[in-house]
Amino acid sequence: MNPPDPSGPDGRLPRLAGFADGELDDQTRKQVAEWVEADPTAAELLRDQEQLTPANTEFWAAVAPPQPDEATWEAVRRAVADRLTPAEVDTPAPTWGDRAWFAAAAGVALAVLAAWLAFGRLGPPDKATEPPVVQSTPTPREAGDPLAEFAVLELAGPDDVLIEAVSGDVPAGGYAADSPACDPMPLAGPDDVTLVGVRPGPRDLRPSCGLCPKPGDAPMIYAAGPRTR
Amino acid sequence: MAQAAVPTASPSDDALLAGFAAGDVAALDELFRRYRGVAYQVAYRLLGHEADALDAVQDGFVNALRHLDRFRGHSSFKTWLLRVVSNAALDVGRQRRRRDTWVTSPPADDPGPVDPISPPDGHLDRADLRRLLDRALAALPEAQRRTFVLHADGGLSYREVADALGISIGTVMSRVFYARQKLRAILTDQVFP
Repeated sequence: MNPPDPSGPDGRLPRLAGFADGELDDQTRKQVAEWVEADPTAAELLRDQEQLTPANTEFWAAVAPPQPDEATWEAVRRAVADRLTPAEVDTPAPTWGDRAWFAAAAGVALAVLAAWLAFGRLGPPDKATEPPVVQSTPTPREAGDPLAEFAVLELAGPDDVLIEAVSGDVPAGGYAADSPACDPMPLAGPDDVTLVGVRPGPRDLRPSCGLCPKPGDAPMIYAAGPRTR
Repeated sequence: MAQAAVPTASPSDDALLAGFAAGDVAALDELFRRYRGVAYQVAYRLLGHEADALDAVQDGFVNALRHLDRFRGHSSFKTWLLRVVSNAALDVGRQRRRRDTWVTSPPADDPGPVDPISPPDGHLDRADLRRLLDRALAALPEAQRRTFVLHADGGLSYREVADALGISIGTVMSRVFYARQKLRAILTDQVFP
């Protein structure tokens, strides 16, 4: 039998690695053993492989990486834990005292909820139970806002408003008092406004309801105040 | 009469993973303590830099535990973890190369020959040996380096490396063989005279 050519195209060379690592099945290992015994070049290649197997503990111990200290490991562990469970990690487990407090708070909350369901939600509709219209101040303007340079946005006064036509009855005292804000001002309704070229939108202006009469959807006039940026 | 200590069996990886999934922070700590060393070893060999390796360990643990559903039933947790850690290490290495390249010089596809280390007294200490191996590893193609490191430093069998990388055992064997050939050629004069 001719000795095998280790550089030949038969793909046997990598088996020397498997042989050195003990990763071959019995039959292949026997074939490689015969090959190495018969071929000095294969035997030399095998020795090269064996020098870098994990079994060469002396070499790997000599080139072991520098080991982080415990403080470093603890920092890494904490970072891992924080990224995985930010709300849970390092939060002490609740004590029995905490649990009793939570139970009492939960009981009170349940009682309030039950009372609201029984006397509030299930009762007849009452104006007092309707959610109040929340009047919020405008949010600070962005830098591109042409009004941003004004510190205070002033209300229009009587001299600034010209009323040309009024629909419906004029309330007692008229509209043009000393200040337009001192008397109640009726909100404009669908009969006061003619919509021209309304495009159906997703929810704001629907032809079926015209201007929605809900108080929350009505235009608001905000009191002037210092603008904070 | 002295009372014999009762040996306590350490929980299996599966038990710890179940505990982690249920929000048990102690289970996460034990998993970290159990595998931090081998994860660091793999990351360090792929990067040759302690701080970068620790970054890769951190990213690897986070990603491995966030995506447990992708590994269950296919391999051991160690195999899964080392796969993800090695991915993270290679990502860190690419980021570092881009950063270094941007600062210093244009990219080079071929790292070129590995310069020998020449200590004044001609004797390589442990740090010299380690630096030489790091340089030799860095000169390997990425796939070869990763395969070799998962086997040599990760302690994975050929089958486990094949599972981790989605390649055949024959490919693992071939990569390990040629990686050793190249490392041996680089290290011959100074480490294996």
